[in-house]
Amino acid sequence: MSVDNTKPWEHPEVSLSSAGKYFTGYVVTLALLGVSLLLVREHAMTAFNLLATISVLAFLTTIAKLVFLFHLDFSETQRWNTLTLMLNVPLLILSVGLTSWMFQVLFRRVMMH
Amino acid sequence: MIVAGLHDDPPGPGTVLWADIDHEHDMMSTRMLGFWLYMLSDSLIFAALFAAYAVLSYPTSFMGGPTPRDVASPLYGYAETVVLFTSVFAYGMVMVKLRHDLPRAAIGWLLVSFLIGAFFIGMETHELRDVALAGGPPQRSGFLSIFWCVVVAHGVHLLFGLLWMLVMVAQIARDGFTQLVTYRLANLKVYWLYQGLIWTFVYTFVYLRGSI
Repeated sequence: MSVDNTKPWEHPEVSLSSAGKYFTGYVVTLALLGVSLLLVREHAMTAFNLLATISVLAFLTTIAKLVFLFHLDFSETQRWNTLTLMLNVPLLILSVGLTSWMFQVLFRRVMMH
Repeated sequence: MIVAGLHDDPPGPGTVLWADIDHEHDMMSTRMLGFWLYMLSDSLIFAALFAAYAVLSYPTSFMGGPTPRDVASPLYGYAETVVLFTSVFAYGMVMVKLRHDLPRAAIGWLLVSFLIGAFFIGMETHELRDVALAGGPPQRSGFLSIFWCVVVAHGVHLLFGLLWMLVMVAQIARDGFTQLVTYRLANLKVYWLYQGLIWTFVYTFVYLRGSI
């Protein structure tokens, strides 16, 4: 990929920035977390369902941030960023998920409570 | 440059497998991708902290002391969320001004982002001081140790981001939007937005989950 280096601000990654997208991301992410806040304050459902729902809302917030703020997609400029993130996500899920699962089972079976 | 794709003809005797000469590298893209990979590795640090938080938030880890419900208020946490996301949005505007080659406006938005970010640090400090005074210092229990660790680790990231912003204000003022300044601003964008992303998880799994 060749780039005109005489005007650095015209670099493809800088060109992705747009005030409209940043503002959309700002409003959408705050709204999603606002819904989480309301559900928790109202104790709108059982504890397990509530945890599942706010987890999904956190996931949607993450997607909104990645799309509107980080501008991730499969274009030539961004595809390596997107691919490396996709390869990284299983590591995050495994490290948090397996640890939580392991200790949940341990807690249930051997710890005093 | 010859690009081989999945749907090209099968290789034969005349196929060129690689280029004989090295083409010019795009220095900015290379450094931005490198910094992106660094941020992904940083996310594994937070994964380790969140895993430890999950492990240490069982009642046995409270040691009779404060519980998640006592130390993290969802409403105050949401106020912090609004403040941090506003700072992130202000940094987005820095990138928009960069794109349009307006250095003075970019410095203005950088300072706005810095001040709102510093206000967030103030809110967090105030909150943690209250927790400490109400009988919840980090050494009180396993749960409090990891609570402080998660919140302070995020706060320290923000402090370094704020320091970086001041450095960039000075560099824009001194050099304008050179190639070096531009890729650093783009990397700081990734760094600052990433702190907002991590906060999403801190808020959901520390502040909100604690009150379920």
